[in-house]
Amino acid sequence: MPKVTINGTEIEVDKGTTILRAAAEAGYEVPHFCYHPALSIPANCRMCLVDVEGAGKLQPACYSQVSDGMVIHTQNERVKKAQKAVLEFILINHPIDCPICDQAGECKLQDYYLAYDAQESRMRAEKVQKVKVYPIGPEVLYDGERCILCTRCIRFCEEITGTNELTLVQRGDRVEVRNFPGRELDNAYSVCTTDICPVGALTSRDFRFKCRVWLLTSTESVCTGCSKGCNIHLEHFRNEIQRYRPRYNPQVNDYWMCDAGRLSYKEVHTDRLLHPMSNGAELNWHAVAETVADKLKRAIDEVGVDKIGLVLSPQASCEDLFLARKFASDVLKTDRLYVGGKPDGNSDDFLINSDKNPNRRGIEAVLGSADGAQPFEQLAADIANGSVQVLYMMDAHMPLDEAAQLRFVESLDKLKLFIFQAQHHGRLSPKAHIALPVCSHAESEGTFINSDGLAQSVQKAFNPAGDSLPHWQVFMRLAQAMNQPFSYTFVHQIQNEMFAARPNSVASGTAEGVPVE
Amino acid sequence: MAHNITDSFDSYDPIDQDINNEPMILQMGPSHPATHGTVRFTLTLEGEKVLKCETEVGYLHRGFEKECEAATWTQVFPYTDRLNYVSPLLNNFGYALAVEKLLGIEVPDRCNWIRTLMGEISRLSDHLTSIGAGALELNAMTAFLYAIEGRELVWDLIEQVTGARLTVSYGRVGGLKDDLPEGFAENWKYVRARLIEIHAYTNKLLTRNRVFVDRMAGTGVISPEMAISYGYTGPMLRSTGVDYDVRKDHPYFKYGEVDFDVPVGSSGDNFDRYLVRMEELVQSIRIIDQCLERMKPGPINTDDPRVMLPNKERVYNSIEGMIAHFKIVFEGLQVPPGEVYSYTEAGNGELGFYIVSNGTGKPWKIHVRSPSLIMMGGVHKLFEGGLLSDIIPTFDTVNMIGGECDK
Repeated sequence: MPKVTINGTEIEVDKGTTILRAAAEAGYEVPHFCYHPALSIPANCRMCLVDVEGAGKLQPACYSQVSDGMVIHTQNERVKKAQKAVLEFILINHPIDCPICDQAGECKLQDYYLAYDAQESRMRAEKVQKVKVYPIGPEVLYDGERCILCTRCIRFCEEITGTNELTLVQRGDRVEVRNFPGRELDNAYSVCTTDICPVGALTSRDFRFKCRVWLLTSTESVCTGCSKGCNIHLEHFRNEIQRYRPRYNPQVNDYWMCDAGRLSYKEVHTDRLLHPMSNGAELNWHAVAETVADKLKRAIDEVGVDKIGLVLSPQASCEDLFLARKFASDVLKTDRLYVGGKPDGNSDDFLINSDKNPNRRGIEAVLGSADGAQPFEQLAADIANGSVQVLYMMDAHMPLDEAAQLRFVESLDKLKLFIFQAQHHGRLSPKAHIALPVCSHAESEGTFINSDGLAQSVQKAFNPAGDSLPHWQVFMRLAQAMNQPFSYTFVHQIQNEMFAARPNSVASGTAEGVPVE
Repeated sequence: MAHNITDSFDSYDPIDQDINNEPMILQMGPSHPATHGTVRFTLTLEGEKVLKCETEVGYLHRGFEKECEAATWTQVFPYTDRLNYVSPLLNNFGYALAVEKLLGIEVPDRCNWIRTLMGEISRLSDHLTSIGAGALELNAMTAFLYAIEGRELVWDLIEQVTGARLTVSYGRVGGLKDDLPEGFAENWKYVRARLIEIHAYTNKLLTRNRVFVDRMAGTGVISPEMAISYGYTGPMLRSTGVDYDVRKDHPYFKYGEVDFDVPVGSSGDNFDRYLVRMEELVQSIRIIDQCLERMKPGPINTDDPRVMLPNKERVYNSIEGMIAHFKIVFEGLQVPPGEVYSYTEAGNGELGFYIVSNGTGKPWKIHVRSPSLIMMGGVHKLFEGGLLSDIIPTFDTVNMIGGECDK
């Protein structure tokens, strides 16, 4: 293995390591714009130039590989001069856009200017004007003046999505990134280009002018748009999600996530069921728990325990499902379990799964087998033939096509008692005798098991909307009201019991090490 | 139960013991008209003599040190205003000096001159308040009005320079908010003349006043050894004869280049503390005169772009200025990791800032060595053995400032 000396620190690295990575291992940051660990290396920004003894000219650290005995300086006067020159050149035509630029606050140009340049420009000529607010794709806007031409976005479309929509046009100081004629940046991962854009040249149409980034609080979470479980930074401000940003996890999503998943946060804040309701009247939790207990008791007396059905939602976390199952078996004393959730959608061979429910594997893990619960179609049939007369349903989604959904909603009139426990009103809340609000994955903590069997935890980002509670706490309240209380206080107690019950059902998935982005 | 009056008369025993031979416990404060600043003394009295005093501070605790951890380095300045709020400029400059030490930067000459000058102006306000209020509490209303007139004049000057009378926030890391306004020297000339008159009147009214001297001399005595072992600094320490003054012993700003004397007392009592403050007024005026005479036009802020906000013209017309402005405002200026203890002579003594930085835009830890808190640690020694009524002048010459003491 080659031994190199970087700024006086001796370090042994693998053969073929680039200077940039070796320096990172030795604890030195080499500034760079065009280099991205998941993309090919064009070495065009020249920001990462370092001094290699004996090499004469400065070398790009992102591209040059180390060799044994190499002596490298990343912070000497020669390198500093080159860094200042590169930044001065880049800033010559950069517009004074920070106050209206979404990137301000997480902009590499801002960071590097103060860290590596911090001097006046000597350029006195007018700045070159280029295209502003160019709709390069349905989700992404391009600003030619802010662009530093690192080509990260072009390489992303070539190498990650393979769709090749973008290229550089013109020459000299008129170069711009453009879509090929007749094409637009409309692949399913197009907003990832705004993440990898080191400046504010590519901005997300959704996030544009919505919130300044230094106001955002970031919580580590998982996308619930499909069963892939892409790792995300859930970024929120004033109890509202402002955006999702992919979080590096080589086991799941690498640096990327799809546009549909990225926009799935909107669902969290629309059509929310905010207060417990009984026949349309708002109640507090105490009163509604008593009402549910009373109604359930009378309904059971009337129709018998074998007519009670409970729909488990693959949208809920494992902890929620664990208590749902416990509630069914210990309190309702029924084994008529059904699986709800969203209907299947489109898929591709990269990150998008057709199963739009984040935790179907979680139901399997909690029940111990895939056939512990029956499909939703069976529930429709059971309601129609009267073998289910009391229904307890988690979540507003129905895995049915449009017509079948309408038929199902119609058939709910036959029920003696319909208890509906969900985030959203949807089509079902008007039919509910009791509606109980629950909070989203952003408002509670829990575990989701993705389609590859990886258990990933979600952190609570902000306080629940309205009176909503996590599913598991709702079950706790109802069990208490029905005089069969569960003995949990914290979610980790449920986790301990859950994992003790099924030790080998899941593998824990967390990314290790922080990549050089 | 029916109560029989004659029964209780029969069982009545006359008190055959002296009711006055047990010490009396008296709570003085926390809200007492003569303790300016909320502080509580639990006094054990024998007659009027104070046997024991237990001091309880903290009624004005705002969590200054903790608050600073949530503010950028620059946002700490308004908090420092509220330490010793009678001389906020001294706190501003003391904190700025500490952060500059940590950053390893030097400020321009003119900035140092202005800091010296404005610091002394602030000291005038501090000492005038202490002397005036002390006289007032011994019923000398006239002396109080003269002192407060002087303070008003000083505050008018401060207002011209900083835009505020009390909460000035005039200091900046690496410089100042602004240069001195035009005509400052002329205004000072007017204020100076009146201050000297006021000083003379006060001298006439108090220094040889029999009542005043009787109340002040020989009360609240502390020995130099005791003062040093309790960590006393400032006029308190100097009244005992120890000539420790940070300005003289560890010069900062321009104190090494100006002539001034450090007045000391000899007996460590209230009267000496009054005399020390009276003489320091004169010395402060001397320093201010020299500053105005010797300062030259020039920049007041350091030119390090990582520390100073660029001027507005650059912010709006160049991307370099715009970026620097953004980074400094939203992330705070970046102070390298490390720790520093920096100390200056504030109105009441050595004001120290112990600062730890973890290399981000906000302080990781700020500790203030506030002279008032340290003086309160030994204040019972000044009270014990004296009369209850002597607490009033003693507590005044101690000059505890709640904002600084309770942090």
